Amino acid sequence: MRAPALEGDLPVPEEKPGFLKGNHAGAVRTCDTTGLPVCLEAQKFIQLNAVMAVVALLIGGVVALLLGLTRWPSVHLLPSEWYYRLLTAHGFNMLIFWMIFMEIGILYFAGTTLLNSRLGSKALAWLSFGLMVTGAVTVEAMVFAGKADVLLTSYVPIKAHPAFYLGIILFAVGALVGVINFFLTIYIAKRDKTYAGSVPLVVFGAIAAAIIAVVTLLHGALVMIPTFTWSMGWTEMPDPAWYRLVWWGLGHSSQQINVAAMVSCWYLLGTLTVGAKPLNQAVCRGAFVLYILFINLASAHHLLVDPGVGAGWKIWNTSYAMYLAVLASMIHGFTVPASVEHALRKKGFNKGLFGWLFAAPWKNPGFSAFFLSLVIFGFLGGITGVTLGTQQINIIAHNTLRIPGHFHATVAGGATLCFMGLAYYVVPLIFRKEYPLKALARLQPYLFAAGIVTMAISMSFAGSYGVPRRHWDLEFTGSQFAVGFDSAAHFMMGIVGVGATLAFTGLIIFVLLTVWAVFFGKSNAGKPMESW
Amino acid sequence: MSDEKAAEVIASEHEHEDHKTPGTMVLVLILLASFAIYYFANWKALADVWHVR
Repeated sequence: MRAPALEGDLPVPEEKPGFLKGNHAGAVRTCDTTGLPVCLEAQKFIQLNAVMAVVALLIGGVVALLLGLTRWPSVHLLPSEWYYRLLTAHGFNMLIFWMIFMEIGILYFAGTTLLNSRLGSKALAWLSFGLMVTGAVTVEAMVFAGKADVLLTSYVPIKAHPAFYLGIILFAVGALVGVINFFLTIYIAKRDKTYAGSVPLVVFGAIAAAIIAVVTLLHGALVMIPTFTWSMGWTEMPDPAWYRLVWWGLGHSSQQINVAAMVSCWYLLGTLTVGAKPLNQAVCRGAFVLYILFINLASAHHLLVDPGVGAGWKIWNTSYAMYLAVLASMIHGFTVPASVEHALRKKGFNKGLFGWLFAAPWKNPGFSAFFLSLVIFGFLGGITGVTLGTQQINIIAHNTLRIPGHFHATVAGGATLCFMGLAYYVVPLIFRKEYPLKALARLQPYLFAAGIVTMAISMSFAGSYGVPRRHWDLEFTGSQFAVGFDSAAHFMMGIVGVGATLAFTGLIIFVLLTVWAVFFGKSNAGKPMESW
Repeated sequence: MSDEKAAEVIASEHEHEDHKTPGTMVLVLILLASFAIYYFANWKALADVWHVR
């Protein structure tokens, strides 16, 4: 608080939060739609990362359809070795490559556009992108060549080709360089005073995601480097229990980067679509801090039936620390729709309890994808996640199809759908190209959401009947003893296949429309984007 | 849909505004009720397969 002015003092001008003079040295344009400054160097790297993200989404999506049709008992499409091979590819493309490429693009956007700053380092951005692409291509090559049928977890002692581990390390180091470049951008923006006041909430969320990313990628280095040296024959095999513990510091925490980035995008899309503002800065930022402090401990719920760690450790991490991260999600689960409600009520949509919700721009795929993502993440992903993360309940669900039922609601229905919604703004505002076939684009989020919801719920029901996750054959053909599943389980697996097909339809429409828009779309340079 | 440009909204996001959001309150109460039902059903399922005598 400033001291009261004494008589005769000159009035000190208030420094209002917002943009000041940028430090772009000419390499900047003002967005014709949002009025935000767009750093041209950062724009190029946002575009490159977004393109790679969509390529990974396409690969992961095609593979997902094949997997869904294999787990559908009456179709049972793939032979067993290709099932596990493609399951490995699906995990890497959807959980790692699609997400992390998008997130590096989001970090560059948040650091430059929202802080009115130049990119920290062009050289670092190239280095990051080059390492990530090299790593991703190496992993893809090893997996599709059949030299890494080890699934995403790649638990030792199952051994893959050394190039597979090297690819993961290169990708992780590339992502880490991207994150460092983001922090450098923030430092430069702060040093050059390109903005006044605290950073915008979206940037604060991006910083939270970046901090979680550093923790995640350090875990990755810690576990993957000794695994790589072991695969080369240079060192002994890492201890399997140690491997599992540290690997989940990479495997689950990478999904927490997604959560923090997704929540940041919810706030951003709320602003872009209905002009929403965060209702309470302290509460929203406090929730992001809870993510930083506690969300990585939630990784422990993957080890709830692991004999290598004790009950006290499991209970502390999953029944105490994890709930503080859940509290953060519940705070965002209130503040995000509340900010949308407040913005719409201010525009006059005040009728009854839900007049604002019916008046929301549901034809805008940016909005529908964002709001559906919020609902699916909260109702399906959140509720099942907290329940399955309870140590006692986990014993009846662990390694069943209930687990993929949960995380398809969080990762696909939540983060992926949200990032699709973001793309409906990235393409017109950053690539400056219009989407074709707008009616199909409007339908796309609903198709994808319906497919994912159908699939996630039927996976959960099938898992409740004991259907295992990551298993090629529901009948356990050739096993020493007969394994019979209830006919309801078979029915649910059929619905999983239907849901997967529907979700794939939504996904492929998104990819085709986006690729068409980027390469052949009508340019909107010099004018605002067309209305949805 | 949004009349104000995003740049103006973001620049003014620190300004305090009074707000009433009864619709969202109802939505989150539905979420909490759904969670309570699902959580209870899972404890019941656990009790059914894992008897404590």
